[in-house]
Amino acid sequence: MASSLAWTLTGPLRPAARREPSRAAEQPAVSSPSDAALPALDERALVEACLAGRSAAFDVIVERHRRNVYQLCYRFVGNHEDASDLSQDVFLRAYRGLRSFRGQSSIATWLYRIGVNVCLNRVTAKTPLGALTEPLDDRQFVDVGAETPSDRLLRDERAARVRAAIGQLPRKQRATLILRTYHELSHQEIADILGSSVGAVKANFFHALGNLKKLLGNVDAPQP
Amino acid sequence: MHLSPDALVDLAERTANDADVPHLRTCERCRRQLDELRTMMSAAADVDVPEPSPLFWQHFSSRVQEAVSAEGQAGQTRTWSWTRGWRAWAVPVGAVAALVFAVVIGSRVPAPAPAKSAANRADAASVDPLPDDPALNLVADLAATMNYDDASELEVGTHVGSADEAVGGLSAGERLELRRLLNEALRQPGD
Repeated sequence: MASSLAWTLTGPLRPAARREPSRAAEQPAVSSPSDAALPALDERALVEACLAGRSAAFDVIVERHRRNVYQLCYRFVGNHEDASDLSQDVFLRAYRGLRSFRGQSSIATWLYRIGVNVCLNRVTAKTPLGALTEPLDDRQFVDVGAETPSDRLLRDERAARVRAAIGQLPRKQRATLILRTYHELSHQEIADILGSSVGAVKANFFHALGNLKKLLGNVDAPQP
Repeated sequence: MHLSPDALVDLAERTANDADVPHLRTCERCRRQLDELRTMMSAAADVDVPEPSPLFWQHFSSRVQEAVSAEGQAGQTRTWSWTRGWRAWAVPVGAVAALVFAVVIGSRVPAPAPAKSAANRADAASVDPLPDDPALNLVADLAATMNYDDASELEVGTHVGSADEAVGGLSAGERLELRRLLNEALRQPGD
């Protein structure tokens, strides 16, 4: 899916959603002729443009990464409202800290680092089971395809159980599982984000899956 | 020796090949663990994030823009206030600092015998002089350099119709007379 993005980037966040919506809304808005060239800039040039006072450059960064930042936040908090607020907080913090961005990692990894910190600060290590799911009616625009209502109900229930179980994992295990499973970051990238080693990341991932098994019991494996 | 978590994760993620690990063929426990890891990875991966409305993204970008814009303005306001405001703050802060300094000095240094200048002696003919307190002299000196209009503008001075504004409009002679009257009033026993 990533290759289909109209605004393929230098080191963007890896798209986590497998159901990509229309890309019309993803086109960065431009406000002046000089801003029109911004979407073509690479990350470093965008950051430099931001630091030079061109706020439209930051808009481009937001529009490139907002979906994955939102999805990261949603994975942690399990509802749209909080995920939206947290995502905004992530970008605001990124803007404040833009001057400290050294370019040693991609903007994507940097935003993930901010996002994980913001989310871990928000959520408690042990969120009550069920608190991480929102009412089915609140879920928006899920592409149900050819699913029957009962299939969809079963899938939603299973997803809610898994999401709630992930919400009960210890903080680093949860962050590792989310970054690895849904955002497909490498163990090294996760280690950089969490400030740990690759070995620790693998151990966290191993224990996260083990704890998930305990929390879910004999979960039915999803049908292919 | 069973497989380590590292090795099991590599196998579960298919970065290592099962066939390359002979231990798996003989160890039921490690095989079961590996199966469980793969089952849980699959169960977790099947959970999607509901896609928000396309309108949400426009709204989201606007919110971030507003927040960033407010952040920028707040930063500018703070800088502007500081660079513009230091002059305005200098007057009252200076006055307060002078008062504190004067009180401290005045409490430590014994007041010297009044040194009467020719002007003082001339005033003495009409009014009794106030004690020549060095602390008060210091405050008076500092206050003499303070811009009355600036102080008024900052509302640390007077307001229209106040007593000190009226005093500010008196002539030198009128001030001497006022001073005499005040001294007389101060010497009277309390009511």
